[in-house]
Amino acid sequence: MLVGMTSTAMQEPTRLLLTALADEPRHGYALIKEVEAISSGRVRLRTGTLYAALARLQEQGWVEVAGEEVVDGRHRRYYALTGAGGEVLADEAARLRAQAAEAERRLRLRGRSVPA
Amino acid sequence: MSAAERLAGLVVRLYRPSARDGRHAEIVSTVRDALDGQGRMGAARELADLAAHGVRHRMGLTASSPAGRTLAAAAPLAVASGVALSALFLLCAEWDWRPPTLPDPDPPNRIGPFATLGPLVYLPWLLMLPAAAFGLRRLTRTLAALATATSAALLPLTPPTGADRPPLWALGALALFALIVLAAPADPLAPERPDPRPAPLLAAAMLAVLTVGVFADGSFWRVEHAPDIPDPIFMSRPLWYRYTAAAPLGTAIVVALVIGLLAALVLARRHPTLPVAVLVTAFPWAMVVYGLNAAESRPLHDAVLWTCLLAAAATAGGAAVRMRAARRVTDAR
Repeated sequence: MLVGMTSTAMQEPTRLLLTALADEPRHGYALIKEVEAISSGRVRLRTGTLYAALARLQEQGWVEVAGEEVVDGRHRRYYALTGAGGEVLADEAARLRAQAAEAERRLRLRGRSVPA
Repeated sequence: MSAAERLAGLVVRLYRPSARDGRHAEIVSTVRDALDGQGRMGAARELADLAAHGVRHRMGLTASSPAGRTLAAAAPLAVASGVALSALFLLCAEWDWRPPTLPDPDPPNRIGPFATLGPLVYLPWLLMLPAAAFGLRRLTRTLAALATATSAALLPLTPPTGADRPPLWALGALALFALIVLAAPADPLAPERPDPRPAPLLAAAMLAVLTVGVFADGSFWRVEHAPDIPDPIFMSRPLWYRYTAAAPLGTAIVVALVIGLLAALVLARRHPTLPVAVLVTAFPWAMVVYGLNAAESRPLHDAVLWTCLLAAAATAGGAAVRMRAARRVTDAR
């Protein structure tokens, strides 16, 4: 059975944002850089879009503020994944893993069916 | 501090003060970092994005606000409405179905087979249907912006070209539908590929209602006689944006809106924003009904129209009061 194949796929920027917060709390600019790195440069969140997404994720209870500090005159607010956010990301990861496994299984079958 | 960074400090002021007080320093710090190493184009895009979100935040049109959620629910209705209206105008008001052998009673300033420059507006609308059906949100919004810009451009464009344009109520209604599409916020938590069925189904249903309205009037079947053609020929362009099919078409629109509102009230438990979304979409439709009836006095029809408008205004006012109260509660937290 394919785990979570029937669940609705999350938008890529949202998935990348949650992934960027999965290991440790990060501030706004660190999130922009992290999302860019995870997506191999394909996705670059702009500041307005980032804070709109963070506000929505906070409202949903998937992300919370973990602390604030001022570094070199720059105000940093750190965001962290909540328990609920972690569960959602784990479900999404399982869905993607199942899709990838199915793709690999079919590719192996294809390799066998091709005449030598 | 660079000019772009100073500008960023000003742009952040577009956010509503309650949010700005808490996040102003944070957003400014982030945007300063983000501007580092970006060229002029990159900086312009960064600031434009920040300004767009700031204005959206200031107007309470975010994905989590009641107004934003209502507009998000109204957007598919607006797309379907604009597509159906454009298809109707293109087929029934613009396209010249007249056989070439018949004499042309229209002025000679037509644009090919079309009566006016209207197809320049209708084409982006028709393209919006597949874009919305395939969940291509950015393309849908780009086409909505293009349709709005074209509608606005037709006003100064028509006098020098000598061509006609659709009447203001037709362009205005389509512009309002497009503004609903543009104002609807993107929800980061929405599914990556939305259900493709609503837009085509709604557009087909609306076009069916409009077609029934047009066909209900005998003028669609009106025949013309030409001296050199023995058999009568079916009339073309029954609407020509006015008069002939106005009564049944206006009635069909009003009846469809009332049925749509009742259906939305039935579905309100599962989709609480749907009734207000239908009312929001009803405003441009009311403009169409008004435009169709402007030439003739139809007391009963006008009474229905004004009743709908007052009901819509009262509901929108009530929703605004509730939104303001909800915003106060949110800001107080």
